[in-house]
Amino acid sequence: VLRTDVPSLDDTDDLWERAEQEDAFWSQHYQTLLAKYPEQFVAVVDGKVVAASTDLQALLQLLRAQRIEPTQAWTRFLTAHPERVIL
Amino acid sequence: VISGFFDPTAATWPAPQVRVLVYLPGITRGWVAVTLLLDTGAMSTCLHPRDAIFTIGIDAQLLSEPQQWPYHQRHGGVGGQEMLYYQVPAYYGFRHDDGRRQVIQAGLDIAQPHDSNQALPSLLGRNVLEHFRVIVDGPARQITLA
Repeated sequence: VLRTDVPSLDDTDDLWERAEQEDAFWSQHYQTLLAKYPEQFVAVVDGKVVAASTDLQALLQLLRAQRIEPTQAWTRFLTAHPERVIL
Repeated sequence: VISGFFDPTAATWPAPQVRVLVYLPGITRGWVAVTLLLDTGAMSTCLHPRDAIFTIGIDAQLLSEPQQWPYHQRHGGVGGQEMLYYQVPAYYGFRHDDGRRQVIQAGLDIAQPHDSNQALPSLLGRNVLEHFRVIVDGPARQITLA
């Protein structure tokens, strides 16, 4: 049974579009950013890197220092040598 | 039909992914978009720290305190390592290729942050996938939930 207070999906086009834009950004820039920030978490706002760190908590602190909410940034861990995880 | 995609940035091989909207009552104010790794081996859908903090917007301190979460449980991976996950109710929003929208109610496990799970992808597991016929077409590089 669905709750009646679940938000409608009718007005979510902007969310889908933003997600697609983010994925497209990483597809286009991943290799370039990987060369600059290997094995690091990178946060991007408006197409520009605003913070990078090997540690997620440190990345969070770097954003807070700039008064950037975590959800404002597109964040990825950039690696060319990932652990082979079996999830 | 819901189309996923293979992440071209995955370092070792293209990873099958699906974009989903999630709504977590009491945690999010509305729908939030997140891209999940399709994992038919995972019993439940889960968020790992990067997505929990930076995509969903859950406070990092809150995630580190199990006593703040009514339901939590240790889950083991294939490698034997156990991690603590918080169980929360969730709604998943999907967009079909023809524009139709679909909502599924299922649980979500949110991982307690740990050095070993910082970079892990979030997973779309069997508690949600059981609602679909899942087609992973590697040669054609197509992911389909039908």
